[in-house]
Amino acid sequence: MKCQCETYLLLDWQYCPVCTAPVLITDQSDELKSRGFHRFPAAFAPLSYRFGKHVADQSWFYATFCQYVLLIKFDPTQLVYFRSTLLDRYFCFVGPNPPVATNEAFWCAISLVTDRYFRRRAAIYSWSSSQEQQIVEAWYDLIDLAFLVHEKNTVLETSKIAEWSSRLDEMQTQETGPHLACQLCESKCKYGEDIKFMITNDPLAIGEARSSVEGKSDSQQIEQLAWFARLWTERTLCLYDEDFAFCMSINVADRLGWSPERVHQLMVPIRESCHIDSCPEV
Amino acid sequence: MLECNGCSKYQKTEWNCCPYCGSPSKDFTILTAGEREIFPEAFEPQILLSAMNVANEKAFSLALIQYIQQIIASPANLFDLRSRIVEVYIHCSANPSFLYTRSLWVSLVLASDSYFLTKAIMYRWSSPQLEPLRQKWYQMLAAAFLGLRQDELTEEFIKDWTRDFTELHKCMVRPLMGCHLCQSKCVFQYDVKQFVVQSTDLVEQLTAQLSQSDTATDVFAKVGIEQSNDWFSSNDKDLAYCIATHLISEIDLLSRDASIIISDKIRRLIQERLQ
Ligand SMILES: [Zn+2]
Ligand SMILES: [Zn+2]
Ligand SMILES: [Zn+2]
Ligand SMILES: [Zn+2]
Ligand SMILES: [Zn+2]
Ligand SMILES: [Zn+2]
Repeated sequence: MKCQCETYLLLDWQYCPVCTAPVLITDQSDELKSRGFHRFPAAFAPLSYRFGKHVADQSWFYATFCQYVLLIKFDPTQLVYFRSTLLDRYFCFVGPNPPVATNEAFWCAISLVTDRYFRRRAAIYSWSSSQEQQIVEAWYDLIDLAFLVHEKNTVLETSKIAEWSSRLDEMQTQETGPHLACQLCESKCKYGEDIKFMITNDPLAIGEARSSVEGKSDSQQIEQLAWFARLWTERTLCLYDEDFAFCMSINVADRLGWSPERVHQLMVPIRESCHIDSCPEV
Repeated sequence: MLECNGCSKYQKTEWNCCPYCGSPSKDFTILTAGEREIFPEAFEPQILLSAMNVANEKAFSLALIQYIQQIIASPANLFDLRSRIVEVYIHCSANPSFLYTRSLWVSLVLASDSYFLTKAIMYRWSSPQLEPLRQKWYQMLAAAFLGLRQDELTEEFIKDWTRDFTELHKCMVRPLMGCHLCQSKCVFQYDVKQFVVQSTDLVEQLTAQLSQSDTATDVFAKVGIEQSNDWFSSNDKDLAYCIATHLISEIDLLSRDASIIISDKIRRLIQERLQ
């Protein structure tokens, strides 16, 4: 956080020690409409909100959340297990000894990210507001059980999670993808958004990809591109999915400045390079 | 060091109000940890001025961090390695022979206070937490540099101080990718970072090494172990890992994603080699 006078401020400061201006709490009114608020109002108390929002605003936290939802599709138990990774990311951004309860600020961060994630989905897939409401509410029902403390011990059934995940999957089905090459993809277009976000927010990874394709022949470039996409798929999903790797290849190629025509022309060999019989060596 | 009367949080001298309760700076009080009483004659205007210049030298503040970490690694270093501080003092001082003992003492006090203050604000320590340790630190320095009450400075005394001071740093923060594997969260980050950002040569050398070999894990494990010894005379696994992790973040070659992957292997290598 920074003051108007350019002084760097810690998240829990109430005044700027240099210009003495009070640190204003950003307008919370919108966020109080969050469905996460009603489930745990304490998480949205001003200080907790300040920390939660700071974390939720980090693109890496959002990227991790995208990964979270993806992982659940392939393995519903990740809804519970991946929590520790999310918490890890949370602790990356709060600084030592934050004066807020972790479960409160963390819930606030998760709620804000959830709202953003589904608002974005709704816009991309043109969901009606009732569709959006239903899927978001059902998501909160799941993470509520997984993250919040309850008096009654309700069991979170894996089948419930899988059901939710396949409902989301259906809601993300499209006839055509954003790229010409998408015609070879059998999961249109379930990964494009997340992948684009992850790539845009990891410029160093694109640098790696660029240096590994530079100055190579067409076929070598395709091999390198697919190798990179396969590796990244494994890292993200902890397992291999061909459509995901293919989508990754196309998006990386796009970021590397390959023209849509070129990608279209090379799509068959790219797809073939993404096809593997077993997991690639990481 | 300054404390707010309203909320007893530490304050910087250049601040106009307390960032926590808004009390104006006229309501700040000076905390003297006895550092002035130990050697009051030293605190005269002329000496203060020259000592301030020394304390503001990067080399001197790094030497102090190094000295603190070396003492944490081994209590005997309080006496064994004090000559290094003297060396750096002479190097940084415009007129090293001018009232040498007094000037060195004030330089140490000013540099120590600025180290403690930066950390106190960063770690959100309150004065009841830090003050007892700060006082003991001056007792240690007085024994080492002024020869005062040396008999009280047993290994036990220093070990207690080390343990309590380290304990104060423990928290859940993970400033870097890879910190999740560290078992001393987050004891070393500030000290390590001060050294890593100064080490452009080392970073360049590593970058060159990395573009030639594909054993990045080995390169980082090795440099972590070497530098923890070189900088801090320490064999601590977490310190070596912390250095490796900070160097990874300094080097642009690796994406965050890639650094998460290699962290595991680096951690394992360091653990194996520093049994
Ligand atoms: Zn200000
Ligand atoms: Zn797609
Ligand atoms: Zn196939
Ligand atoms: Zn105050
Ligand atoms: Zn740390
Ligand atoms: Zn560390």
